[in-house]
Amino acid sequence: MTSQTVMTIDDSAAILTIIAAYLEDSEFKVIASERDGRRAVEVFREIRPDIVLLDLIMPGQSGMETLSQILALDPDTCVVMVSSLGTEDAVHQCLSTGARSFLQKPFSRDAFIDFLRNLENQPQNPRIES
Amino acid sequence: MSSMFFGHYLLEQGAIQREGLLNAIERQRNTNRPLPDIAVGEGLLDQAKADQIHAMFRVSNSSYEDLCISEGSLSRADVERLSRIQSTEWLRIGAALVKGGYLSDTALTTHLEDFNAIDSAQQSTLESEFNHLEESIIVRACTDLTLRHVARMTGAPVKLQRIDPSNGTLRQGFRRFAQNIVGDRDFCITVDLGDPLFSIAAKGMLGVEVDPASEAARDAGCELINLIGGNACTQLEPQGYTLRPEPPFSPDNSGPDQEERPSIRGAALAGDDHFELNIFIDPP
Repeated sequence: MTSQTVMTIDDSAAILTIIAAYLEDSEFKVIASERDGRRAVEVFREIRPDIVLLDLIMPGQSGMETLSQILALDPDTCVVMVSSLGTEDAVHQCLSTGARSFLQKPFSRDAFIDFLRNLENQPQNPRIES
Repeated sequence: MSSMFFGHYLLEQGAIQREGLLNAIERQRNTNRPLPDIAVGEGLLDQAKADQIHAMFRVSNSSYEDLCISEGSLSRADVERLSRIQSTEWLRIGAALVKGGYLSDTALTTHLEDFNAIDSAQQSTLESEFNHLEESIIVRACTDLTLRHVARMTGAPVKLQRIDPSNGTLRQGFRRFAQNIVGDRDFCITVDLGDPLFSIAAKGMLGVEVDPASEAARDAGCELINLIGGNACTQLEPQGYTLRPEPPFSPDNSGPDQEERPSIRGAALAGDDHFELNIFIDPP
């Protein structure tokens, strides 16, 4: 199976740890984890991962601002918004700005990996069942 | 007197000391086993499968009963038998205090009778006052999410409490985990965790024990607030309620402004057992 590089952006170190643990031993390799949106954009500019997992609600620079800046650098980037907030408005705003998909927390490891594997097939699936 | 948990009632009555209560809670924790652990003891599950069910329980909406059946391939009859074992060996706080030598059998019986009489009358009054409020639907949803994300890990009891109207705060001893309705309502939901929230959150999320005062514990606690707030907004949206979650904050992490717009926000202190989820409401 082809390996894909992943960058995770979340203000919560707990979530970054959980995602890294979930993706261990999978075909998805976490190459960067950032807790600040502004700093994450700078790192993204250098590393250009295949997939960006981006938190929506963050103190400081928000997930939406970070999404816009990443897509301004590379409009084809596969950005998945990851949030505990899954309202229609939030999902619509993210997808219309250019996010590939939207994943609502919490989620199990198996559901998470299945979701990432199906990203190409289900480009606008807003939620998964854990 | 506000409605309260039995252990705190005994404390207030001077029947026990705080140390005794903490020891009894610890004894409960060591005695009361969740269903997967009982299943391991009965030879119905291996430890790896039980660990997998614990992990799924933390991130799913399913009960232990359902997970034991769907993931552990146990029959409904097996689960019912395990539940009977669990209820037989389940140690309640009063019994834990007696076992620890902090309370006599006679004192337990007397205090329990008094407590039950007072508590059931007060809960009934509080519930009837509360249930007709428009906000109750929001608080119920948040309580459900609290139970899903936090309290079910420990089997902690949940109660409706009344905030002290003189200063807007909960009575001492009831602040372990509270969901306040901010405004002129003096109700809140409390969950008595018996442990610092952040320790529980970190262990539940990361699977390891961490220092409650550490940044990892604070992060886990804040993420927990995010989960409850975000999921509550999502759940309530179809019912016409528009709420907006704010990033969690603590004294060393500048929080949202205090403007009262529709929002759910949390405040937490790392290492402390004090947590509040404030709900600012914009009814439909």
